[in-house]
Amino acid sequence: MQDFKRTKLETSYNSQRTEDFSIINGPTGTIKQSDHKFDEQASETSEYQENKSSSLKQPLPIIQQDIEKSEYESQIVESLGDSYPGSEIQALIEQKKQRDHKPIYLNIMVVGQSGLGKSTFIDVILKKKFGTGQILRDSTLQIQEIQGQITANDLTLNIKFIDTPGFRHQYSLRSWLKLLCGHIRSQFNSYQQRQNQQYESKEKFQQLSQQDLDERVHVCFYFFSGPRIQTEDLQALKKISGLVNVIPILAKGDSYTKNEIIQLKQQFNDLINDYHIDLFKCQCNNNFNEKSQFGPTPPYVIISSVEQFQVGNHLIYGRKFPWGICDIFNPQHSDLAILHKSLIGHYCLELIRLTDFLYNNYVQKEKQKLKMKQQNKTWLAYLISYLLNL
Amino acid sequence: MVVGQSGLGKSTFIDVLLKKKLGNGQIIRDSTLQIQEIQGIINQNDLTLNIKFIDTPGFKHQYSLRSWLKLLCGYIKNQFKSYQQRQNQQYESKEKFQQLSQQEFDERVHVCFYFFSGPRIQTEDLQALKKISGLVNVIPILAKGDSYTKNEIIQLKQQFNDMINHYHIDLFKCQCNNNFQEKSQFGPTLPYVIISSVEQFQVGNLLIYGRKFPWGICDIFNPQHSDLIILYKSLIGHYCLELIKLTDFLYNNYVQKEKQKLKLKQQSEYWLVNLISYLFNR
Repeated sequence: MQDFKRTKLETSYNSQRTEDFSIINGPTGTIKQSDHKFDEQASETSEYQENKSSSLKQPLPIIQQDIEKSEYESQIVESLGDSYPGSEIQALIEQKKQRDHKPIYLNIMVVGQSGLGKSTFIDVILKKKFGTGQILRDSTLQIQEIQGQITANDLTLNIKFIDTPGFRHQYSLRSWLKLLCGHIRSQFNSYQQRQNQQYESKEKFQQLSQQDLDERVHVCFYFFSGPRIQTEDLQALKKISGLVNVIPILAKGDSYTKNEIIQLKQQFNDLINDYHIDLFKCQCNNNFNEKSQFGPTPPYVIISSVEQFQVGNHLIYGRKFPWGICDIFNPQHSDLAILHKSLIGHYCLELIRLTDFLYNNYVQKEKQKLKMKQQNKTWLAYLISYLLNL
Repeated sequence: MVVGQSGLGKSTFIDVLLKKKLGNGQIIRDSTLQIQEIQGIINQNDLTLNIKFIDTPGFKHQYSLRSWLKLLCGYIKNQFKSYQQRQNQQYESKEKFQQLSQQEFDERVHVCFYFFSGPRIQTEDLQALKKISGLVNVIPILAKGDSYTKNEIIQLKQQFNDMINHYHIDLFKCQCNNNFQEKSQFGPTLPYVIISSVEQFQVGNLLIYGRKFPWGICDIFNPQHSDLIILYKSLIGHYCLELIKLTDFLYNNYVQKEKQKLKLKQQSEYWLVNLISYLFNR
């Protein structure tokens, strides 16, 4: 695993933005759990390291690479002042680059039934090793937030995973959905409050708008499994897809043969169309044509494991069976590599944009609810006054 | 009898043991909806073994555990009843006795394979086990053995055995005299780790039943991959007669309970009659 190297030229940019980082890392490092076992995982920010396989080293298609040149030129600009022709344009380009270099926040929520490998999946994406040293983890009991950061070429991507307790059949589906939707809504609420705060005074606006902190849930990975798609999953999907972008994931991919996966994906897509559930569909302009070995790409087939094995020269994450070792990043074995690439490279900005739309939806609904409530109150007040007058 | 949650490979397991080929050509079968009986015969050296598998619908969480258990226990009790009726019929007259006792037809359920799975043992499984083990011999089976690594299986078996001891559930334990020392690769033999598949693959010279993954083919009869071969051997070679003997004991238990129930019923009726007559006389 290579550490991504930072050149000396980048340090000047970073020094300007350290203040921003200290503000950001403070309030967002919240831990919502009481179990001491998960202390070490939940609150640290881990440096993300580039994966060893060259296929994943895809340049993020956003930032231009003109660091060296523009820094030099900006120094010339300052020394010569306004007499230098075109200096104001350079300054403008400078400023725009600075504003574009704000960190991107991507909040991912992971939901599904109990025992499907959600917490292990988060560990894999954040490249953590064996968290607790257990072979079969204990089940997650509360909603936890786990942060991670990818820094590359002056771009900072703050990924926050929200690990949720899996749905167990002893408890009702309704209370589980209430927990999840409640969390999504509370994130919307706090975002709304901060937006409202921003516009209260000019100083606040300047202060807060620079942070661009976005704690709304942008995407939800819905884990399902089993030889047959269950109706509880479809009900939950219907409810959640109205609040957040949903990407379906077929978990425990190592227990199905290739033909079974193809059939399962087909079944899932048929059921989704039947019930008119609105999942995330990317409208990207890039020629992104990575196709999965197992059929249509949503749902992605995933195998989660934090165990590493030495196979030849490579160190792979996988699961070891007496008849072979499956490599979770191998595109022949699972769709994890494709998911990882698409998520960070192509879906990221689209997801954040669509979240804006869903957030707006939510705000409108809340306004309507408030209106209805007020209307009811006035109606009730009229009724009481009428009765009193009688 | 084969019971367990829905989607664990019970119907496929039956097909494997009866050496049937790909039944309906489907890759993922539809779920079993009703109790079905499937027969098979092993004939060798003048010994005939009639195996009858009872395939049950798996427990789905939309329906209540209670109704599912009622279905299963109802079936077991039915079989006991029909056996009892025939026994009673036998002793009615001498001719009938000579006729029926020669058949020695036994339709009681002798053993129940309980399928469970998942990274965590569920309480519904333990509740069901507690109820069923009072009526029939139970052999627990860890299904979908191809989705767990070896260490996970060892840990799961340990967890399962701890829970069984904790809840004092009475599973089938063989007291055989033979020097039967086949040990499983995965830890204590109970519960057996099973992989079910009816697909066949050619590997070298051998034709094996297995499941094909991009990283390898698992062979269900290979003792390194699953406990199926140990289960098969023990069941037919060593447990068979023991199971039938113990079923006699459980059947007797059942008959005694029924007699007690009947007695209580009569007593309460008697008491009610007494009360009414007393009230009338007042």
